[in-house]
Amino acid sequence: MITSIEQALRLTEVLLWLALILQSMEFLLLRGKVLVQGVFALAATRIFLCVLLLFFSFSGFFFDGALIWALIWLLSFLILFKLRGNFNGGSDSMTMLVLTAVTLANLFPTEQMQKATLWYIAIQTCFSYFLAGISKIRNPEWRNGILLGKILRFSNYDISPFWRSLGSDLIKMKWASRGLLSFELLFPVVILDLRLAWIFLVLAVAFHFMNFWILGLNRFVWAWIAAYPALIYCVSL
Amino acid sequence: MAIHLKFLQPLKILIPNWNFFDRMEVLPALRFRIQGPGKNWSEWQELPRPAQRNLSHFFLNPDGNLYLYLQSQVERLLIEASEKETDLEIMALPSYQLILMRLRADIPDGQVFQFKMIDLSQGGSDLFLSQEHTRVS
Repeated sequence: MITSIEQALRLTEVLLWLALILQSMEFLLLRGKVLVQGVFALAATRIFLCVLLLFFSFSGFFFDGALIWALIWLLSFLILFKLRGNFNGGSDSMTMLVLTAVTLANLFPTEQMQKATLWYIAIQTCFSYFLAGISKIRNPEWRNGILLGKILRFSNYDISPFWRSLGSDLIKMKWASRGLLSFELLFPVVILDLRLAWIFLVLAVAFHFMNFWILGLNRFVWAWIAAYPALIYCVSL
Repeated sequence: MAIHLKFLQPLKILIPNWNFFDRMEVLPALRFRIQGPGKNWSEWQELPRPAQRNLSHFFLNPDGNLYLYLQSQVERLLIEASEKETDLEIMALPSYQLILMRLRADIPDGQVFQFKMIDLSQGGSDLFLSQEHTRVS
């Protein structure tokens, strides 16, 4: 259970730290690949700063975490700038959002600012599901499952033959679409009750894991999980 | 709100967009071909796909994400090219240049090549055909 601002912020920082380390390591593993030229040094420096953050956190030395978070923010922005936008769609948006909030909370460590940044993450997390649901439900092809089937059957994502063939089953696609739309549109109810929040967050993790398994979107899982402690904290108030 | 001032363009990265797969009129994919002896073109080919996914990719999936990045550039080019009027303007687009850069990595020196985008949801109908380019080191 998350009961204090401190606890919520530290947990957010730890999960964001993990997401940043994994994202940076992916860039290191892509060294020499033409599309990500110029990102290697930035990603390596980001890992160094993350390790530094970890070292100082456990060593007991006095250190200014705010400065390190600000540098990590700058490097993350430069990586995306170098790539002319997002590398992996919404996962970069969520990473930058949580990172901006954490950096501000560290730069201006007043209770008001820390609370505001946690609320910002929580509200944007609700938006990330709810607005996605709103934009989908406007499209009749989402409502009847045709678009989900099209994505599975034809899109250029690396989808296994099993999921591709499932895309042809329009009845299953219709119910899967409706399930997804219901989940996304109902997500804001998490604000009402902590138990509801936990149920929706378990469903959300399962949803992101499915997106990884079917489409290969692993970065989304880590980026969104980093936002959940703020949501839990705000619902607990 | 759209950002029109060029120097503010990078800040678009900081504005979250939570619309995922909301509209998919077309499902674009990249294909390329190489000119062989006698100026004969090869068949249209697909770039190699990443290795089959397993649980370790849950943590680190560099090649899979690079492939998704290329796919996002293909989708971006399709949108941006429709807003341009001349071939020169289209070729100057960063997404066009990134796709060229990626293809050059797989094409031998001196070869003439071309790429196109097809719509997978319409049986592979053509959406865009690039200019011919020569691979020079």
